[in-house]
Amino acid sequence: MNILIVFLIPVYMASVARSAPLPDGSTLVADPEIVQRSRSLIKKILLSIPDAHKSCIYIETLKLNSSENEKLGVMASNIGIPPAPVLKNLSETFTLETGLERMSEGLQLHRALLTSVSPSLENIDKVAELQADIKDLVIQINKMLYQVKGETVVQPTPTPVALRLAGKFEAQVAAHLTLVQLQSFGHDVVRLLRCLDQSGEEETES
Amino acid sequence: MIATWVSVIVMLVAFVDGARDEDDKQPPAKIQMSSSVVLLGSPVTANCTIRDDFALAVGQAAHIEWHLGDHFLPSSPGANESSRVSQVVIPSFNHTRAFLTCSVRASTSQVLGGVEIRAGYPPVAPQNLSCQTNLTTPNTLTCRWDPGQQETHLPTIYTLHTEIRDRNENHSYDLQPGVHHYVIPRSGFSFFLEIGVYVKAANELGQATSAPLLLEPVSAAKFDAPTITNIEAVSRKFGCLKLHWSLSRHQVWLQDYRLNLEVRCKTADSNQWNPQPVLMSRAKTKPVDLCRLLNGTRYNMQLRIRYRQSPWSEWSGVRSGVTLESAPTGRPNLWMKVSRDEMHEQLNIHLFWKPSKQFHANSQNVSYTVMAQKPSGEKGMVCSTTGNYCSFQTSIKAKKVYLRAVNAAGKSPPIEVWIHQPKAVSALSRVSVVPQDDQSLLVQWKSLFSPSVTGFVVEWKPLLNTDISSTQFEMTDRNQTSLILTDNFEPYKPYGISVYPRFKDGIGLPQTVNAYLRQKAPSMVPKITIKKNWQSHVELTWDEIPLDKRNGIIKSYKVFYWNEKGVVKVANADPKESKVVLTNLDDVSLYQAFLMVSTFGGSLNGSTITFETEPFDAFSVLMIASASLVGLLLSIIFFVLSCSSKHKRMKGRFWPVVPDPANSSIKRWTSESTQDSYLASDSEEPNPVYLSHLSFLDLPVKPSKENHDDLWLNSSENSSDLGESICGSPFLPVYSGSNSDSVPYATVVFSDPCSSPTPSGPPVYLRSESTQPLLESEESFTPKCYQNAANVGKLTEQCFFGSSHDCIAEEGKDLKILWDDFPLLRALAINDSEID
Repeated sequence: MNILIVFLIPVYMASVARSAPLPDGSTLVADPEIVQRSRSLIKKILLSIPDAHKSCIYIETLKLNSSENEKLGVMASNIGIPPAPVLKNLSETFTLETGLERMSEGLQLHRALLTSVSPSLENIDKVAELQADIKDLVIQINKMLYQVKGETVVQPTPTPVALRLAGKFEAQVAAHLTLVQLQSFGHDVVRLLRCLDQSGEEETES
Repeated sequence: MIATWVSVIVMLVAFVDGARDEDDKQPPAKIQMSSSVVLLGSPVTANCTIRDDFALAVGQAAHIEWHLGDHFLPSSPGANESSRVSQVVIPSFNHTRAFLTCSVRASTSQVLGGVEIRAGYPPVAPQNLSCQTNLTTPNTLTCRWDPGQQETHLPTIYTLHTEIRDRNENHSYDLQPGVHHYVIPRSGFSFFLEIGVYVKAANELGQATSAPLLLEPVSAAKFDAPTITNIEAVSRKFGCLKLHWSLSRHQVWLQDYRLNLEVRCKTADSNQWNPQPVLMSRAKTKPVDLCRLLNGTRYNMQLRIRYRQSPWSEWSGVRSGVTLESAPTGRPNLWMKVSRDEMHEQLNIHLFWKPSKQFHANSQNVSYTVMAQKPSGEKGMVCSTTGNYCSFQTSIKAKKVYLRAVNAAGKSPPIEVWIHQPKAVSALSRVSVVPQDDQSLLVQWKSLFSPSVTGFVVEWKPLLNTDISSTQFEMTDRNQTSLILTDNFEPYKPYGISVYPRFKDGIGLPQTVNAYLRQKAPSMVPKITIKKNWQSHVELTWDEIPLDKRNGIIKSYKVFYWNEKGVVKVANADPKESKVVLTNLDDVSLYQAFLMVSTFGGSLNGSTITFETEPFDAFSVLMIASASLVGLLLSIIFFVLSCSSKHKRMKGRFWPVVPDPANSSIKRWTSESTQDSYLASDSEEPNPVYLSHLSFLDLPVKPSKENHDDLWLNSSENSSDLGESICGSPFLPVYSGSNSDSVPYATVVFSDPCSSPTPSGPPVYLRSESTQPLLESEESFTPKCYQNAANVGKLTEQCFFGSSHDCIAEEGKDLKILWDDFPLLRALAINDSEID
């Protein structure tokens, strides 16, 4: 059933944050079913982040969509939260393989961050669910990567990230920043996956 | 050095003591068996070996016994024939749990050891394994299975195993005993990776594994019921509605996924959903168009979803939408009732209509216009209504009217309706209505199978609602003789149901019945009023129960009444009448009464009233006396008239004729003198011959012809004693009283004593000595056959004295002799011969 569908991205991906020139005759290989699953999963992750944030972050000043988050850059460095990989529009320099690899890396990074910070949190049910969703998405991304690369991709294993969590505050900030960063990265993933999706027309029987 | 040795010795001693203690603590006997857990019903073999140094057995021949629980088991010596070894074989171990003990029998029986044996069955493979994903928070995968019917009798452990093959990821979950489901946490499965699930059951006798279940968790999810956000008509697209919908917030992340949809709809005025929902496969969460609907119609819709073969979600809430309007089409069902107004030479018409399968109003707001020839002769619109009927008058010459349906989008073509004159013909009978269920009535009728009948019309209306618009109707074909009416029938409310025969050229006479969907006791009982009260009669009346209070068809009125004596009597009244007359009441007595009204659904008692019966008043006495007097006078007049008209007869009865013995014979006297008086009584047997007296005489047992005369002589001498021997006559009491006044004319002597039940021979006839005439003329019994007792067995000597047909005189010499003895009889005989 794994029919490889070769398709061309003919248009400029205006929605991707960083613009890039069109790849000349470049082709993308992806299973639309996997793309759709991936899109559904990243949507689920993005929908779950507010709930997870609400469940485990009890410092009221830490809000997901707040300009105050920019003030936490120093804290992020001190705690040791690595930045997410950069996702770009597909181009000759940023190929599908690269994009898929970056997505996989970024998702695994955030899953690892959540794994590291979870022991310091009090209510982690939603966070655990979020981790499972990220894991599912990574599996789907790696499947696409396997189709692109033609070789087996190492299945995701949560690699712990060493965080410097001195106390509850740092743990709260670390979890907050992880979720904020995951949300931002997730939007980039959505945009990239939208480019890969080639959904057919609706089939209606009545 | 010494200290060192001492310590070593102490340690050795301690070691030896310890070893001895250990030996002492060992059980005196050891029971060996292949397994302590066996299959239920299988054979069990066990060996018991007694230690050689067991004190009780030293120097003795130990006798080993086995017990399973309380039961003794026969055993056999061990293979080595030693008395210290015993073997027992239980051919079929039928206990789920029992203790096998080994004892030695010496002076006293001592238990040396025991083992527990448990038996059961290996587990059966779990059945019907199924899993369902929960897409709400928290996301889980719940698996259930059936452990099987067979009880294993052994602790059985169930383990749920999962295997995500793409990732070589396996999990196993230990399950609580007796729990046959497990909730796999979100970390144990991936939504889009196929997972293999199976359940393993294991106990000490074996293990079994269920058939593996392969599933994609997202395909095993039962979605929450979706929400229809809006339904709208599609511009310039008749018969279509666009349906906007959404997933629940927990599943909205799957909105771009291709789901299967099912939409069901019904018109707003319908009670049933369309039996065939519209299926839309692989539809994203986008608006869907639903077409092939009726124009201008409000539809209620529901939606449900599933992914691939997952269970269907529950139906969404109902939303409604209206399709685009178009002009009405088709012909509605029509029912026209026509009656003649002879005075004004016009027709009164009630025209009813209702939607048919062919008729489409194509709008929610439709009105109807009726065009007809008015009584004045001009043609024009007689009705314009949004209702379901039109009542109007038209010329008696009018042949048809026209109906049109109108809505905002246009008008229907005029629908022609022929006017048929009413026919005074009936074609049906025996209309009956019974409740079919809680909502419908079954109407049945008998068709008279008139060839000109084209069908029937069943019309019904609530009797408590006089609005003509509440009239409903249904058409049937000519072969149909029953119809189930489904309407918003209310229980305990009366409905009038009429069945009309339809002819080609008109409507016949209807048969009408009243019916109830359900009945109960009336809501009220009318008050009893005493209308008349005279002596032992009281007439009670009451008002009719209002229709809305009856709650059913009145089955009976019963009046219960009683007086001080306390005997309750019941008077039934005709349900069609509202009165009852209580009779046979005691005079001047205080009575109490109440009315009970019954329907076919119950009864209700009214309040009790008290009344007193009236005594005889002066007027009543006068009336009764007058009536009695008139009756008496009439009786007297009748008596006198009767006497005058039946003078002879009366005279004969009260003043009987005394015949002259010198100039009479029995025959003549009888026929002439007594005939009139005797025929007065029909019930009496006519008998022209009378005996004034009948006496019975005791006779010798063996009478003979020779002593016949002697008997006669003897009897004549003692004629005064004849009265003392009277017996055997059914009229004996009468005659016993008049014995002294009567004169025996002849005596018949029976051969048997009077106590004999039946005479064994003919009686003897004896002449009386008396020469007195026969004066007695009172009614006499009918003499029967008398036989000569002295001539038993000689029929030729029989004597007959009476009119019995059984007795026929026979001729003979002896008979002539007798005639000489009886001059009267001889005269009779002479007269007979003269007549002959």
